[in-house]
Amino acid sequence: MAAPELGPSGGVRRLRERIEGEVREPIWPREDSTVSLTEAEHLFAGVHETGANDLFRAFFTARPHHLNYRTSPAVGPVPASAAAWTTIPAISFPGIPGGIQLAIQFSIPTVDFHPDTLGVPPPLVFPLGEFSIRTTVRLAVLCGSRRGDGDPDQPGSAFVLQSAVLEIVGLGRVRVQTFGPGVGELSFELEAVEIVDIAPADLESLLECLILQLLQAVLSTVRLPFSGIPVAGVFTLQLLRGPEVEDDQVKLYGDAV
Amino acid sequence: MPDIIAALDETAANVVVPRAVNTLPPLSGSGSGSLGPFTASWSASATLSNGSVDLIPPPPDVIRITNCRLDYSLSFSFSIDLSFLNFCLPRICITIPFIGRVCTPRICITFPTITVPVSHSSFVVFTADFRLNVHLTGGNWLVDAVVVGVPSLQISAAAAALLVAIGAAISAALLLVPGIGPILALAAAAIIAAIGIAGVTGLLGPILTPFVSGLTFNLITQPQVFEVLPAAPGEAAVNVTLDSLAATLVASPGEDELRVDADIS
Repeated sequence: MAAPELGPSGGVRRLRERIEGEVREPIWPREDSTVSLTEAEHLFAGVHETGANDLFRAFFTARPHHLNYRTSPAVGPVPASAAAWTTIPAISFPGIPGGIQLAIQFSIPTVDFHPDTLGVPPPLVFPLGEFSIRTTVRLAVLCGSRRGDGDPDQPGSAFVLQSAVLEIVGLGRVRVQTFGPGVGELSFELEAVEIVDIAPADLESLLECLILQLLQAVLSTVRLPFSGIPVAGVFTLQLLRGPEVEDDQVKLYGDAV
Repeated sequence: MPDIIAALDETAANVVVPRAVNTLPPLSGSGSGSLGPFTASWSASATLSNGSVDLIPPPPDVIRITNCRLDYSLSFSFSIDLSFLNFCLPRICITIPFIGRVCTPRICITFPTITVPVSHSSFVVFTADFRLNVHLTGGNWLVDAVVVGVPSLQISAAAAALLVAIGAAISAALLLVPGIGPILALAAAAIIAAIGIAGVTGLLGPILTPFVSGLTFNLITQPQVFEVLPAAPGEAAVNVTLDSLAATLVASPGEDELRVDADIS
């Protein structure tokens, strides 16, 4: 049997390996340099991390059910609106009537486009062209022995809602998909997460593995169409270059058609 | 740093700006004006198109459109009092033996006032400078380009063509006048001479100039409450508020750019 791996989780390890193996690209000139915004192309659209965070906030405020998942209201009482939740099935387990009741809640994520402004915790290394993301996840489980008819919404006095909040830092890339001139969308692909100060390391890796998958799923719901970028969407952008993440922005370059 | 920056260089501006100009609705007007010694009632419509765009950062901070084309259709009519052509045949008397003196009646030819309708379509080209104007109106952020000053129209060629059209219209109108046959060419020439190229220019200029003075076209319209994603089944619409918008012409080495900054919340 192979010895259990210690240290960084698989996602972080793979990310570090890729960074160490990649040829470092030259840093594109910054806005205050002597290069035009459009550079060699003719049309430029840049979304600063503050703008991206405003868009994230708007998205998850309007659609909070992409952040909040629960098996029943008993494990996720806040927010009160049922529309703010996505209902997931309880984890079935022999001998537990109704299964294990749990809730998973993320806070609205914030992104930091390269360069690293906020600092990522080790072992994460912030590569060129990527973004870091910060959020918290609240994991809640209904603990105790069930009495009565087993209705989780009517728990007996023996039930206790146990929860923990973890701070998450992740790294990822902005992806683009085009469907024709002026039509395309940006998406955010998470590659690694780090949860600080959990011991033992195997537990940390396990939780990071779990939360990476969950947060990847959450972020996959965020797809920002070109037309949904204020001002930039006015011009019919035929994408020729990008997205390039640098200077605290995600940048798109192209032609006007 | 603004939340969102969009920029286009002159190559892109030559796609975006003419497209904005071409979307202007047809312009129209009517009135009356002097056509040489005559007074003409006119109605006109015009459309703008084409043009080559030059972004010129401060100073003078303008978008210059050269060879912008104003296609126009002009209909007007004017009345000509042909009385100046009136004449009388002299009375001739002869003495006939046994009959006496016999005279022909005095015959006078009088000409009416005729109305000459003219329809003419042509175009003029001009160069105009536009300045950016950003404003929040009716819940929309607008970036407009507003013409600076009164563009000078190159109407000499158009005036010459219009004078030819007027000549043809006069000849056609005179053909309907009884008895004018022998002096048709003379009458037409006299009227054309009276109008002259100056008369046509004096009519055409005041008709066309208002179409380009005060000219404004829209480059960007963005709702202040901007819909990022529309509502979908089970999904609410995602909106952000456009808190501010700024549009500037900026100089960069090698190229000039139109830059638009937006802040959202």
